[in-house]
Amino acid sequence: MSYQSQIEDALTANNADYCEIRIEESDSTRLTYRGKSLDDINITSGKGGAVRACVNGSWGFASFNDLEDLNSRVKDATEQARSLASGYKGELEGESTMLAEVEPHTDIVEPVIVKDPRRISLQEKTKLADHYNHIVWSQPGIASSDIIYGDNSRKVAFANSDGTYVEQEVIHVICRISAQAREGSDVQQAGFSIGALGDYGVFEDLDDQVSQAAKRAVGLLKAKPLKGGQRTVILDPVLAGVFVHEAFGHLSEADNVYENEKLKELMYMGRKFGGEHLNFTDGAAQPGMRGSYKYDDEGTPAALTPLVRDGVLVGRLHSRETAAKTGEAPTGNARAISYRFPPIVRMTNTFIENGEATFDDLLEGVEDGVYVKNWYGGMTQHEMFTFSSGEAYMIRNGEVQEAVRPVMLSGNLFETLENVDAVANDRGFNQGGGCGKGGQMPLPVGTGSPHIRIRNCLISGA
Amino acid sequence: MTNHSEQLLDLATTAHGNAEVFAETSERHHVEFEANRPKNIGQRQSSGIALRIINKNGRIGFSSTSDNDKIDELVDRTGVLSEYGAEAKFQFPIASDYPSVATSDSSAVDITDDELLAFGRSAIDAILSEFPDALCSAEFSKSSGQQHLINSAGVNAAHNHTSCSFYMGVELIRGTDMLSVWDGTVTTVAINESNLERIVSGLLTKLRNSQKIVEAPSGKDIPVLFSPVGFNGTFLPPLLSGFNGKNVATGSSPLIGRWGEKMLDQRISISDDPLRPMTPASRPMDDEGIPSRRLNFVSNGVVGEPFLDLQTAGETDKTSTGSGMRSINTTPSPSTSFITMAGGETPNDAMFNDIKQGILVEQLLGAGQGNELGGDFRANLSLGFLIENGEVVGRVKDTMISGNVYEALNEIEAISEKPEPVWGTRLLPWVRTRGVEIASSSSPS
Repeated sequence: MSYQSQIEDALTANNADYCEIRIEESDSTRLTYRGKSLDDINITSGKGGAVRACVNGSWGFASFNDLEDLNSRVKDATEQARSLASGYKGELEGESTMLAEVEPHTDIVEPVIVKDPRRISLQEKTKLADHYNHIVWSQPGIASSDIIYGDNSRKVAFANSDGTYVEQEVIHVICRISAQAREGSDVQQAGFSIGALGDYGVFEDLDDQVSQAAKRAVGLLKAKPLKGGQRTVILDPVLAGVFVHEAFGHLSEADNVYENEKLKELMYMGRKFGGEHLNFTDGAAQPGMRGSYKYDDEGTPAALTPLVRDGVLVGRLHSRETAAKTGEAPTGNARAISYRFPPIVRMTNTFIENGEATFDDLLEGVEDGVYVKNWYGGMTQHEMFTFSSGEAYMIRNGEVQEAVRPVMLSGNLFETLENVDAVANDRGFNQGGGCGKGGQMPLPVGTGSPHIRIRNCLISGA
Repeated sequence: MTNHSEQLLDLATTAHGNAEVFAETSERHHVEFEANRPKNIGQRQSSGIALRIINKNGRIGFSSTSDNDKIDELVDRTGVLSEYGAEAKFQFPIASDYPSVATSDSSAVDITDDELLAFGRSAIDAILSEFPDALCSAEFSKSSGQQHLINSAGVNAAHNHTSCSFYMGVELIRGTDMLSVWDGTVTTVAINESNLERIVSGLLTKLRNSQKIVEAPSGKDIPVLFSPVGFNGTFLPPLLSGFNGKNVATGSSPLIGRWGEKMLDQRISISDDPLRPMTPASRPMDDEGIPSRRLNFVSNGVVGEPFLDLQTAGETDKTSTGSGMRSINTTPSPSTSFITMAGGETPNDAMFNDIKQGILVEQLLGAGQGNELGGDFRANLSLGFLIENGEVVGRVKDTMISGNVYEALNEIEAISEKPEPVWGTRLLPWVRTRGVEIASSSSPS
């Protein structure tokens, strides 16, 4: 897909403070089972482009499917940025474009491929999905099932007016399988989501997991709901990963902070959020995960950014603009879900680093608590967050006991992190998630965490 | 676009027999304010085309592209895909007389950037004049689009739509307390002063009511009042999932076998009305060429009928309700258009009266993570208030609500007389119920 000369020609016509062009080609295959039979199978292909221009701190953006005449797209985006910068009655006078320095570079990045999903026939993909669906339905008591398999390749050519030119390709594979059981109007479901960068293998050898999900769904009909209130909870690595993403990650995104003086005062470097066992990191430079890449959508090289060390805030995630305006270094976290959107500050792979405790240490002394596993979803609004477990089990006298209905957990950044009183040493990873922000979703992200324990966590009744 | 569609249909019909082409073009222009000031401006032009076929063995093939150079590939690709595709439980419909409904107005796209900037400035200034340390964001957008549907059975129909939207969010930070309130609307004509005033005055009320943080009660049997926005977020997703043709066809809807039964309070009537003129969801037909009609989901508490597209109608031995909607990259699936709920008997401003102690639900965080299929709901209150003796006394935090829609909507205490617009695609009343559990970390559990 060489668009290099076309893009670079168009950029020479630019007279904004900064201008960038992205051209993208994508191909996706998706198949869905709903109930006993295949519901949908489709292949879609896309091609489109985007131009973004900055004049005196104001941004103009244009996205399009028609790639003819890139020069006039550059001109339009620039003109619009200029007209916005002249402001409503001159209110933006004195503003200037501030972008952190990034060394210009030229690079062509080949995709990470472990087992290429594009080389697997449709026949093989449907056969395997069909096989998993049979496993679900072989469990007595199943009322319905959902299987979603998808693979997608995205090639992006990017150039900016600083002289950077990057071509990059990524291939994603995702899968979600869920089983539903029903008794009268009581419908319960259980399932799991997984994903991988460039590896069809993640969709293979799932028989045991599928069969367990089907069993769990049926079992939930008999499980009791918990009463809402505060309890000690232990989170498995999957749910603890969702926790760090929701509870801390979003407030680390500097676009929330850079124009917000009050929030800057709360999220200052050196602020203590919890015990010394808390160590959080985000970064696309962690190889081979779904949130991994070599350059972000502004062409900035990926990094691994420590966010919390020994319980203390030490870093946050940036685009070039938020880095320049806070005086911090760019971290390569500006991401766009496709050419239809401008890049904004996003997480990539977000981690809780290992502590020293064992899982048994976490259980010890818990008289009446809940062990929550697997994820169903999560959301954040500033300091408040909620996330849902896919499974929940009672803990009594330090032992994991019977299953109860899955619960939703809620908290508040400034209190809940203080209440994380133990971190285990058994880190595991989850790549089945997609993150949403500013209308851009699902963005591929990864998480990793060991088991963690939270005291006095608010859970909802079910 | 029309040329591409007709050529593609000809090729596909020759190759496969039965075929349908859906094409869409749209243009969206936006102006955004961040941190009280204009920040972003731009537009999105998009176009795409999708081909669906039913092959000689009765199986569905579907593929789409936004790349004009690849349109010809769709014919072969859908052929290959249809070998693995789902069995078609329908035939492409023949042309119908479509009802006429107004869907567009050029004023929506004629509004200028300067007018939008002036609107944004005055809305933000109105907030800042009372709350000078607030940070406001605002987004205006205007869009127009055309859809064209053509099939081998004779449907050849196109319609245009326009919309104009305004969204505003306000943040206030005091200590470690962060307050965020938001509202917005979508219209098919240009946004005007009165749209803006309604949104700004609603936001100001929420900000005023949030100045004091109070403890929430916990437990059941507490009166909970839902604003129209709160009702929409809490109850409609789990309720509508039961009416969704996909869930009916797979057997996972709790309403199966219960159509015609009274399952909710008799004061509740909820409909879907695509023929209501000049809403963002108005349409003479659905995206499969079936004429639009009004659907009564709940009439006086009795559950009526599900919403179906062609495939789910075929699977359930019914006829399509004209609810097949799609984007370019997806096959049609059942969806709703403009949801209305009938008003009750209590004047809107009397909904707070005689609440000795209760909760007002305005905005939710994390709704939709529970077991919606079973009618369950649960969410954190991102914006909720304590009501005492008929008055809002302050904001509650770290508080969750949960319950089941079929229980909560059977324990109704009052429904307001006048429904109010929500996001431009809903018209809903205020509703007070006791069937909701409150869990709060600010009160002993």
